[in-house]
Amino acid sequence: MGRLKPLFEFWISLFVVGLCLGMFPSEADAATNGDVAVVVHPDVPADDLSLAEVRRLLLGDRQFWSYDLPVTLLIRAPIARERDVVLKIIYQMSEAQFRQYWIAKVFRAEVAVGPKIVYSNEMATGLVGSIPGSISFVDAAQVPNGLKVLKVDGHLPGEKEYPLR
Amino acid sequence: MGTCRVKKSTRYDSEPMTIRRRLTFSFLAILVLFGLNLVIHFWSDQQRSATVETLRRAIARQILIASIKQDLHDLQRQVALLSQVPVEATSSGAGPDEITRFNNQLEPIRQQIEELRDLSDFEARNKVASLEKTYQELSASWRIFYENFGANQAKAVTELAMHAEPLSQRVVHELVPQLEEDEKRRVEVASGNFYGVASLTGRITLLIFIFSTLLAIAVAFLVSRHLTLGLGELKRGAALIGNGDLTHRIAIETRDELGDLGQAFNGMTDNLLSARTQLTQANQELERRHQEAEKQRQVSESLLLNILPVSIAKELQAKGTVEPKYFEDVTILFTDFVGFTSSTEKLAAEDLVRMLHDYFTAFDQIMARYGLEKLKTIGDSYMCVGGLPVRNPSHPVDAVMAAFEMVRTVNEPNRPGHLPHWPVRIGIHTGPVIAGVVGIQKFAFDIWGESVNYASRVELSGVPNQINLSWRTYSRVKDFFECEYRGKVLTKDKKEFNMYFAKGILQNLTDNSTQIPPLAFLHRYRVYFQHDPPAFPAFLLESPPTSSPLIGV
Repeated sequence: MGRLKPLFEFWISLFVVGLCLGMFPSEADAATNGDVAVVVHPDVPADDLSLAEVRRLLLGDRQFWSYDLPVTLLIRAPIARERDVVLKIIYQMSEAQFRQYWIAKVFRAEVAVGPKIVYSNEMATGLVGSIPGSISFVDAAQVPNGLKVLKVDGHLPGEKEYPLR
Repeated sequence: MGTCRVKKSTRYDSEPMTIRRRLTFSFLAILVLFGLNLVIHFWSDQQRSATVETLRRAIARQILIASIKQDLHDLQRQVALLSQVPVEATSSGAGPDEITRFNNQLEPIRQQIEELRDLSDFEARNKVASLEKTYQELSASWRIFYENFGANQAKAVTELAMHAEPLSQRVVHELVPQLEEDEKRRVEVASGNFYGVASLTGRITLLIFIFSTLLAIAVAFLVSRHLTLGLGELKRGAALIGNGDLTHRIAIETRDELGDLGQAFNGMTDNLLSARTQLTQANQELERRHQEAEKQRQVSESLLLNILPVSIAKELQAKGTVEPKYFEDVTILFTDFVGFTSSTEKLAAEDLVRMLHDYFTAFDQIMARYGLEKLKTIGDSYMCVGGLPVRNPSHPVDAVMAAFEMVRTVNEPNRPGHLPHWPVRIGIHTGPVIAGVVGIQKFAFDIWGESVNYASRVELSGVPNQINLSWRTYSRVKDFFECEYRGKVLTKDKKEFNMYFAKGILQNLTDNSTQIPPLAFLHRYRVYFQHDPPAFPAFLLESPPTSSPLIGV
């Protein structure tokens, strides 16, 4: 038990700091409120994508970042706001159309893999961080450090012209 | 000689190329061709079977690969779609049954890959092994995904994205297409091999057929040409030899049956030529001997005719014996030299024999002229007969004319002076006799009967240089000759018979003509006997018959 005491004190301190940070949002947090950030694995060889390029990625028309780095789409499960934004702005489809689109795409063998469902932003960011070439859409306020957030049409989340919100 | 020469076989000095050997070689060549055809057939069949098997295995692998690809695609789609399916937050993931079903979906692909590995050759097995290994990893990754799907979604997605999808991409888009491409190439190669082998075997079969045909034609031509030439030469030679040209030789120099036959023909021709030469020589010798034999036969026949009448001699020659014959009417003439016995004491034997020889030779000539048969001489006695063996009615007249000739011959004056003169006594009688040949050596034609004995007595009862006739002879000649009746004469056996001397031609038959015989005589002779007289004693016309003896003693 003597050895567990320093570890317990570390986690308590971390919890308190975190709680304080949540209770008092920063200016940046306020600026990115509602924006959906495009996060990718740090190895992805891209920093700025046009909305059309993002659309091609999400439609499965572009499946590789580079010749040996496939694109892995991570989409939030239904009901999530990020999913709605993506469907509305990028896919411009309803939920049913989205499902039909990918079923048809898979069965036409136009893609070998489809988007994968993630159930939380944490899960999305976690997977993006661990899966090379993965791309996901999460609340810009919940993007953890260490992930690459791509510019869309040259804008980052929080900026006025950022299209995904 | 033949102009077409069948060439000599020089290929094998010790083993000549006989017809049998030629036919055997031809048969063996045809057998070899048949065997070659058979080998080609089996080889091509094996090649076709091998290529068909290769093609079949390649197609089977293609089908397997297509099936694997399809199953992988299905699974991949299934997983891809499954990964998009949202699950309840409270879901605990797939149950054991679902996991088992999922695994059951994975198992057929593994079995197909194993089957593909078994069907693959060494070159393809490495790739199949790589596929198998990758699929094992893929299926394991898919299992992890499926087992965590809904329960540990992050792990499931991570596994799917990190392992399953790259692996499935590699399998579906790299390994399987490579295998597909390889198998497609193998199928093309196998198809090419199949058609290549079929084409090759077809060409080889056609070549063998053409070669077989050409060889068969060549063999048939050579053998038939050889046989035709040889048989033609044999036929021509046989025809020439058959036509007698024994100088022809069959010019077949081959060391085979035809050559042997030609040599046999030539040997036969040599033998025939030799035999013909010998036969010619033998014929010549036979001809010479025949001529000698003919001469000897003529000599012997002459001798035989000297001692036998012609008809009797021919009968004797033909039958070996002579049947005794009865002649009812013949004229027997006996002569005897008067004083011969006393002369034997005074004359030398040579002179005595020579005198007899001269007289008897003259008698023989007279017999020949008048158609009488000399029978024999007994000492100085000469016996002849007329009317046999060929019967004729004129024999008494002929015998009397001959007797006149004999008397004149004996009394001719041109004898050497120191030799004595023997008057001849002639007796003639006409009657029946039996004639025949007796003995087998020194045989003689003779006659027997009372007439013979009586003729002898008539002769004994005669007088020198007179022709003493019996009554029967007289009765037969009295119309031609002047005869003097002697009265009854006592014979040796103390019996008396009427006897006559023949004196000459009847006066009325001489008709004072110079024709010989006189026409009257000739006419009567023809009237009596239906033929001309064989001869005629012309000297009888010079002196008319008198009652005295014809010629003085």
